[in-house]
Amino acid sequence: MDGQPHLHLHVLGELTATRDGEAVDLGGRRQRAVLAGLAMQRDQIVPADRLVDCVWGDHPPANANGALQAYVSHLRRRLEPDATARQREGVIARAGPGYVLRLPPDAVDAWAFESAVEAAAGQAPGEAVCTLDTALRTWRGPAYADYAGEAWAEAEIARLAELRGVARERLLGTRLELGEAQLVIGELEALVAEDPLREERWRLLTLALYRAHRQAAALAALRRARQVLADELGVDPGPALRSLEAEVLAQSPDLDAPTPPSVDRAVELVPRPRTPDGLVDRDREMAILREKLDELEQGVPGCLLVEGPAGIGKTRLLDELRRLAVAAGTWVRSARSSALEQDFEWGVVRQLFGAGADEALARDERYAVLRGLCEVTTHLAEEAPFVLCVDDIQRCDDASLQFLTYLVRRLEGLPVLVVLAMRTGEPNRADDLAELVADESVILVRPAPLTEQGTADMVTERLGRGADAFVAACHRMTSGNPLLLRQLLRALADEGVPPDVAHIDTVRAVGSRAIASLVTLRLRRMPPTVTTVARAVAMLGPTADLVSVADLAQLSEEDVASALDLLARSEILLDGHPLDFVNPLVRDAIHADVPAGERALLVERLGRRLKSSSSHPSQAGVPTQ
Amino acid sequence: MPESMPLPRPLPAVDAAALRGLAGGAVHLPGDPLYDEARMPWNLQVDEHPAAVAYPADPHEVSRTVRAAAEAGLRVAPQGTGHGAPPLAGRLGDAVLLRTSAMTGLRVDVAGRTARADAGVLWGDVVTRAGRVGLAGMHMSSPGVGVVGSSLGGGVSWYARRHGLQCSAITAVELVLADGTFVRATEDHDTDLLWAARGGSGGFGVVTSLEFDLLPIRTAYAGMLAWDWQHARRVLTAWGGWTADAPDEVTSVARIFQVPDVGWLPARLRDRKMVMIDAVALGDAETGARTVAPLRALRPEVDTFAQVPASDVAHLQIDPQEPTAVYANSVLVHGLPADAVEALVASAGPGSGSNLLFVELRQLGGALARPAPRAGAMDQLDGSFLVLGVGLDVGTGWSAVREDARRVLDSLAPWASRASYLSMAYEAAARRGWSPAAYDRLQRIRRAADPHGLFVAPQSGAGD
Ligand SMILES: Cc1cc2nc3c(=O)[nH]c(=O)nc-3n(C[C@H](O)[C@H](O)[C@H](O)COP(=O)(O)OP(=O)(O)OC[C@H]3O[C@@H](n4cnc5c(N)ncnc54)[C@H](O)[C@@H]3O)c2cc1C
Ligand SMILES: Nc1ncnc2c1ncn2[C@@H]1O[C@H](COP(=O)(O)OP(=O)(O)OP(=O)(O)O)[C@@H](O)[C@H]1O
Ligand SMILES: [Mg+2]
Repeated sequence: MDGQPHLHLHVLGELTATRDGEAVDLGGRRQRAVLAGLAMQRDQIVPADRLVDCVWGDHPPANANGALQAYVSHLRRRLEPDATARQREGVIARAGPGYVLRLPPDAVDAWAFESAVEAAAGQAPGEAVCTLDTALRTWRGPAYADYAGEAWAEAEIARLAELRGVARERLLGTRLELGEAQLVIGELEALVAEDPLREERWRLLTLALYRAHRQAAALAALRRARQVLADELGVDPGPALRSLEAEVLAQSPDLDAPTPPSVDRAVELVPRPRTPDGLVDRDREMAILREKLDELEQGVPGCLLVEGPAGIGKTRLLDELRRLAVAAGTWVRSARSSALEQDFEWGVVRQLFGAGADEALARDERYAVLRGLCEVTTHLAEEAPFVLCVDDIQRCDDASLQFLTYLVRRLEGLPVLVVLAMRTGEPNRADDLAELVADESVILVRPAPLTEQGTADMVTERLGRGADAFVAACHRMTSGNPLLLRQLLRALADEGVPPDVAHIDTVRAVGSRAIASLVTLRLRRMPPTVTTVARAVAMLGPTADLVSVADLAQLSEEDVASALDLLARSEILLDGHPLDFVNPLVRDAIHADVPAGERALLVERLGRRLKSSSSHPSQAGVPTQ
Repeated sequence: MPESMPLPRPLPAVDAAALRGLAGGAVHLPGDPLYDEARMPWNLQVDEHPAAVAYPADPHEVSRTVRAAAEAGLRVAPQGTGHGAPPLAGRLGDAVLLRTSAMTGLRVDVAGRTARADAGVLWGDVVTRAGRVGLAGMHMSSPGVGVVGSSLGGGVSWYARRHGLQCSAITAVELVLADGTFVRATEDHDTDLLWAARGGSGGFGVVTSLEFDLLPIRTAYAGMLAWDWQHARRVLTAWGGWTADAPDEVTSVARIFQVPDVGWLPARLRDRKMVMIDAVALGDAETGARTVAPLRALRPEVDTFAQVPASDVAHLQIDPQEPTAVYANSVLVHGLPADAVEALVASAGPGSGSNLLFVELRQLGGALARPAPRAGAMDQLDGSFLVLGVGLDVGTGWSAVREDARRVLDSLAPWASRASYLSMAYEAAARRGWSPAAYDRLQRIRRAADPHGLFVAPQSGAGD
């Protein structure tokens, strides 16, 4: 069609056409119906009698075919005014028993829209947002607006409307993936209001609320969805909404937004995974987790103790377990001990059971409390089997540890899987812990250092395929410790270091630093506000949130938000909430690196904050429901 | 050059324990698991046992390392990749090898057409980063060479005949002096140190960052021609004549290459003896093609010339990338008359008995023959060709390799310049690297920055 004028047909709205940008007079409603009937069938031949149907419906004139031909030739003259009559067969061509529209796929807005929606499905999020947004803007009203309600047009109008709905959902869904949770909530509320029976919209809304740190609103949205579906259709939410509900309750790490693509100079150079990094070298451990979860479904209790040195991947295995459990529809209750809370009696138990433990904890005598807590566990297990997950038990408060030991000995007949993680190589004071480790019914899981192949996989994911000698150096320098390896690879990625033989000494140089200094070095290379924010998060501990960090760092919330974003992308903070470091070692490194003067200042501000707020540190770490 | 045989040496008696824990723990002492790996430079021929190897990651850590070394009575030898390690052989026993590889920061300022490279940055990094924004750096022939070491040593790039030495592009240098102080030297402050950094090869501090100009070069006409070495005389004679009136836009290198059967070489050349010409011409393909047409007319067996992105130029020349044990030495010569070609082919070509990996003739002249607009310790090169002999140990021992190279370089003595390009001539007297006035000034600057001789001198025979 080279050199031909550009003809465009618009059907997303009222039917119009343009020729090289100029409006074309297509004639009356009936004449235009011929074009509508043809456009709906794309490049299919449309029999003349069907077109007659489009134009006159049940009341065709006597010489319908003749009248149709007249419309066709009028249309041809309008669409191709420069051509001779014979040449005018170009756009509306005669074919067999009818006519066919011969236009390139991008000449009809509805066709272009459809292929854009398809194309977007295969695109990277940033690009997909652009494609979808552009495509949706081509809509000027309901499709084939002039023929709404006509029987021959109904199906196509409905199909396009559905497609538009899907495109809008995908656009907002993709923006959500890109970390725009806050921004899309309003639009999702509007979408839901338009069609409250579409579960996908409720799902997206819930997810957006959750990621915007509005858990209560997220749960409320799910309740509203359940209500609407029950009232209108008398059905329960489908599997997608149900599993989302379980994930929200379990605070599944799967819900967190994937790392948004970076605009940072150096990071831009590195292929960035869209999903959290693949787990490597953990087939054996994962098999054990799966097996124990299967058994739990059968009502068989169990206790796993994941133990190993710092950074070997204990917490990661617990995360994987949560993922598996959520996928299987199994409930998980999680807690994590922290140095800050170690002296807070029953801290871990409170994290596990929330207010559900209040009654038991109110009892006077220790054994009565333990019995009470066991009853709470039993009641919960009667509702459904569940996993009870406690990380970092080497720092667990003594009382909670006593309960865990007590519980593990009484699991018989209780469909509960207790999964504990413990860092080895640290002095720990509790006898209960020793007793637990020695308990024969407890299955020990000891994640091994990564292999050279596992290391190679992580190098590929972070920096692109690495030269063998480069991978070997990474492996040697980190001794297969995943935390060290990831921090090393991040440091290299931050500076855009390619994984080739020329850069082996760079690996040695950066990789032979102690983990703490590697982390602080990386932080020092980021903008000063980012360092300030990281230090504030480290000082605040589990109570840190956007507002308190902004307050402590004396920065605007916007600045803090973008610093937090960079810290998450740089694998210093976890991506998601509550605010936490990727690993306690990372927190400790940053905490220890705060210069004396700044520390004094922060401590002072922290003291003032605590005085002015009523929040007791004991509430720290208890997820708000 | 002191011969370095891979004989086991006793561990140094000095105690570097005081350095432990510096540089975030990245300090390796003899006996530490990573010591043996960390002490090896790119040129594996140099097998030194320094008192410690440290990898400081920023000027602050460099300063602390330098001070701690001085307090412990040790010396300091700064090193990047170790491509230029040979002059250090035999001199590191009481030194802390301060490797700069952790200093990887690199910024390219598109508007100002400059780069700021920390001391661990390699030319390949600059080429990639600058190439993305349509700029080029005056990089060395191999992308794994360090920016700082090669810039301090002068730096002859593929753009040298048009734009001069890389060291003349330096606009600022940041360094830590022997007393641990940090200095940023520019045209306005500490100009002596900036002058010294422009080709003064070191010995006045540990450079932590260099800033230098980039060139707005997006593409170049570049490639390689190759013939069987039977054609060496014919090709080199013709090339020598061609260089005499080639425009400054083109820089070329001719090599007599005895290609061993090793993995890093292109398969089709492996195990062959060739004469090759690599060239890079600035400008468009048409002009470039016209410039190299007389060479292509010599009916090469291989011809890879094409207009290529500037970043491809960094991979044009065949050089080993992985750490390798190599011997190299060079002379600067004036002109390449028929007798010189004759002498060269007789000592390095068919029937010569030479086992050198290659003998290379780099075309100099053009901007390299004129004093650079920016004053520096090195601001031009006195010679129209740099003749470089490079050998691997092919089983006959290093002294045989050295003898092969000596024979080639000596055969060109009648045409030799008084000057030496020390980055590629490790056995030459240090004085020959600079004009007498520049040499004296450089020594004065070194004494001021390092009064007690803390830094291991870049060249071994400093005074002679
Ligand atoms: C394969 C190969 C290709 C080459 N190609 C070229 C080329 O095309 N053109 C050219 O001109 N040269 C070339 N050279 C020579 C090269 O420029 C020198 O060997 C140069 O010294 C290498 O610098 P480096 O930093 O990589 O090596 P290093 O061995 O790390 O450094 C060499 C010396 O520079 C000094 N130095 C390094 N870093 C610092 C610092 N931060 N502070 C103070 N002093 C420091 C030290 O004295 C050190 O011993 C090549 C060399 C090889 C092996
Ligand atoms: N098998 C693995 N494959 C890929 N990444 C892993 C693997 N194991 C752990 N990681 C990653 O390494 C980092 C450290 O792991 P994690 O925090 O689970 O260690 P940990 O054993 O819990 O350490 P700590 O004792 O300090 O709590 C995390 O970023 C985690 O995602
Ligand atoms: Mg952990």
